[in-house]
Amino acid sequence: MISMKLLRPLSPETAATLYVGSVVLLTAIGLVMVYSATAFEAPRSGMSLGLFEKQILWTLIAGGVLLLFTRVDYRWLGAMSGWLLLILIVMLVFVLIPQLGVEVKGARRWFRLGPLSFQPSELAKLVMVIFTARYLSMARGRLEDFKRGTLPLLVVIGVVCFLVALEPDLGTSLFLAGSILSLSVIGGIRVRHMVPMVAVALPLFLVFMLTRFDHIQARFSGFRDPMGSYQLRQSLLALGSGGWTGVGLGAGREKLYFLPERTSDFIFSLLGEEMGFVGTTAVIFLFLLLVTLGLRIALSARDSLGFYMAIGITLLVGLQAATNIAVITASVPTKGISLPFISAGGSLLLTLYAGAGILVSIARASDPSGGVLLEEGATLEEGELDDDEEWEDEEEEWEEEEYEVEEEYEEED
Amino acid sequence: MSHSTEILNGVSLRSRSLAVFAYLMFCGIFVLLIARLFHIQITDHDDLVAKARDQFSRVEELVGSRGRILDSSGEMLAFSVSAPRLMAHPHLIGDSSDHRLLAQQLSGMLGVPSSVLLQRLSLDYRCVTLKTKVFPLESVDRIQDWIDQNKIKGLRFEKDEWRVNPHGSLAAHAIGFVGDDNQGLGGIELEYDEILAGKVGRVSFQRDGKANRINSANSSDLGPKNGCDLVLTLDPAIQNGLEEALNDLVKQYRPDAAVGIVMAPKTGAILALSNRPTFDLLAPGKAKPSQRRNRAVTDPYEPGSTIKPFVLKAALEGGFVGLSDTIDCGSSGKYRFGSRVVTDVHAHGRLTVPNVVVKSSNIGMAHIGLKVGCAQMFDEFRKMTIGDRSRVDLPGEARVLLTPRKKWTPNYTLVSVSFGYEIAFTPMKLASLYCGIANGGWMMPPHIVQEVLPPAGSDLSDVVYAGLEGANRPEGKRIMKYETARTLTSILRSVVVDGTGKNAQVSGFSVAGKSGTAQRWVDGRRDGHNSSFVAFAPAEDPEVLVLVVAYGPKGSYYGGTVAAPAVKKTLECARARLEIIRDFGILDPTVSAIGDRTGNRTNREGGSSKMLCLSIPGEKHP
Repeated sequence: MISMKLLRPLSPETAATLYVGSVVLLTAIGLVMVYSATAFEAPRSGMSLGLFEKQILWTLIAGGVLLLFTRVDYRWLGAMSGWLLLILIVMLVFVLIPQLGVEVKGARRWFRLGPLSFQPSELAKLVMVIFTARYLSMARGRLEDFKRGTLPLLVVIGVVCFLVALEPDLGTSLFLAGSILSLSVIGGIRVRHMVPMVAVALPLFLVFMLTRFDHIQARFSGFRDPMGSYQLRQSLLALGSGGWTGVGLGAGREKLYFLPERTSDFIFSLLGEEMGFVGTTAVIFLFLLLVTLGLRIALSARDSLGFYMAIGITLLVGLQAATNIAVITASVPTKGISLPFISAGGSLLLTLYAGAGILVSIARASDPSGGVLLEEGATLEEGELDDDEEWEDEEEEWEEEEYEVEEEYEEED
Repeated sequence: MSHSTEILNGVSLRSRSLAVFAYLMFCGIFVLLIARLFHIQITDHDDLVAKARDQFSRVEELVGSRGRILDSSGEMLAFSVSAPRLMAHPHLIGDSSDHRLLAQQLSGMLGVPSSVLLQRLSLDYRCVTLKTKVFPLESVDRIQDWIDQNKIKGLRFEKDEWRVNPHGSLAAHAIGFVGDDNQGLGGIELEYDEILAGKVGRVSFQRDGKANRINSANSSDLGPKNGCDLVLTLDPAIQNGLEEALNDLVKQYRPDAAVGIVMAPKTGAILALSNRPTFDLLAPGKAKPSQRRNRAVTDPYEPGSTIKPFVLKAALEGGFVGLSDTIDCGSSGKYRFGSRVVTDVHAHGRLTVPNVVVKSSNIGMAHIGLKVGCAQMFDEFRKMTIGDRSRVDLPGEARVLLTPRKKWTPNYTLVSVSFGYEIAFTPMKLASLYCGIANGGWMMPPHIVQEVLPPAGSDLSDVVYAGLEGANRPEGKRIMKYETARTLTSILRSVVVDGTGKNAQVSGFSVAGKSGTAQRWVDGRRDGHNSSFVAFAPAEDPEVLVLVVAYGPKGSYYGGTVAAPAVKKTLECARARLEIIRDFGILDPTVSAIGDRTGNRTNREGGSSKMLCLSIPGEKHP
């Protein structure tokens, strides 16, 4: 924990303020890039909103959600996590129904809300973090037990990921599984307990891969020879054109229909072209700052629920940012994941702003002395700890009941 | 709570350690990503910038419009109209079902079966041609509207031209035709391809990922230039007269082939040129090679009696015979020269030298030839340029077949050559030589291009000359003394008045001419005759010359019978034309062409540079 001592002067509340500040800064950069990526096109006729206008609207909504979540006690959210999961699963099922879900490019992932559309699979990331954090904090005593501890959680993760994969949205599904399982391992699930899940998931995954073999093969060959893959070639050309300081905001050329998905998955390439290495490095440092502040808030959380939630939210942001940048630099073979806060798209923005609100809530509720967990060999007064334990025990029973309801539902499904 | 250091606020030390471990992993990953970005953005910067520039920058090659071919009156014989090529980018259009749909939709509009379109769309190329030469422009507009309305991606028109020959087969062999790529493949189109062809210009521009052009050309680009127009010496009325005369000849005598040439002896200009069989310039691909053959320049033939004036010239100028000398042509019509026998059609007895030509006695000519001798005759032929090509500005001219000097023998070569065997040249060469006689011994270089007209906005100094037009044309050459030429002319006049050329008489027009009838050799065997007649008029001051050659006529074969009537018809037509020209004061075909060109130029680009310079002296043309 020695490295964490550096963070000690930072109070959790200051960390939360900085976190929100960084989020706003990243969002502002994102808006600038979305504007740059779309402004050269002729304005749309009629009432439909342009991408940039939509993004402004989403940002305003997301800001409201953030404020709302700073006022909501994360423990209440934890208590409601069963219901949240239920609502999420209903949404994930409904979005598959042709009359309800909107299909774009062969995938049914969206609900239409007036001029905007919402993607429940993005919401799934936050709901799964809340649910898993709650589960880990409740079930700490029995996590050693595979049947009573690990299996129920794995089933929930499996069901949600399966529903997301059905849309189909393989990228989000894998990302969801990866981040929630990482959180679970941090939370005490034994790695060896996951072997059965892998045993079940691997054949399914292989079957899936075989059915879409061309698609997947193309991704891998693109990774091996980036300049041979149109998308990666354009991404590298954009980044490479940037040099140290970039060609200047708005002056990028790759956005002129060369760069694919220039407002979403590949917006970082555009940023690299227009703002150069200085810009890309600055954004990476901002994400690193978010991860650092997230950890700082987690480590000073008042209870394990707060710790796990903060870790989960931080994992979501960090993993997604790292994956996106790794993909567009042709460092890993996959695609279809957007860059948090910067890519256009409201669902993820909303989800991550809600997450930021929750982090503020966790920081606010943290031990006023601050950073007690950072102190090596620190001790707590016994009473304090007992209170917590009692509180957890009470909740645990409730959770067990709720969980059974959940399982019934899954069987109906 | 035995493990107070293990559990803090409900979180185990293991969880905390793992969280910090995960954090350190993130730090590592982010550092690696920064390193990777450094590699892409800084190390590979130059390479990637260059590749990106390649992708944005495009250089388009544009070709100017091909020049027109006009006759001497300014009438268009060949011109190009815009007929663009429809190109498709299959990968922009979509997958195979999109291709099938598009093929079906376009099939009707293009008049191409959808299966053919689909096959082209299915090719694994970035860009394929769906149809070349879409014409007329209304159908291009209709398709473009359809593309715009339905927002079809991946279809575009590329500039291209279609060569139009409004007069079909008229002077087809002289004008020639172009291939699909607008490259000249025959006649003037081939000979002057470089001058007619539009010049390629390079236009560089930036493009976006949808292949839209972003900015316009920069100033350093050299734009495309239209090709030069050519004004031919061909006269429309005389050409028509010649075509009709040949049609009548073909109808009556059904020769394997026929050639007609009309020239102006004073200038060497070809006023008309026609071949039979002929072909339609609008569908040159459907014609057989034999139809497309311009025999006037590609096929040497043994001229027969038409060579006799040149043999006589050698004898007269060398002093071997005098005009009043007589030659014994025998009383049997047969005469033995060594081991060979030469025959005449009629037994002529003793003839004066001029009458040997007038009666066309082979025996008499052989005697005259023998008086000259092999070496002297060969040298005389060389002096008269008989051994050289005519150097007319038409492609594919065959060289003269003349026995090398060392191989000449008196009884064979010299005797044969004296009445036009053992020597072969093209009809064009013969017509050109006769122009020399008609023009008082001064032979003008034969030519069919009168003038090169540069496209608007440039002058002739930009034009690279390829042929004999304009200032590059040689002055001509004296092939005989003036007196000799006049003597020969009067002899040739007698041929028409009371010799073998009576059929070429035109009342009120003093025609001088000579018939030629030669046995034809095809694949080493005797096979029919080549019948020819060449004439010019008026004999006192010849303005027009006509040569007609019929290869293998059926029924009759004497040049005076088969070819002379066609020559006569053509001369009648030419006389009428010359009278019109004289009455209206536009004798020089160039004058009429320039007069008309001004109007045409205005239609095309607006104003002729030459005319502008003339009207506003001292002011530089932009």
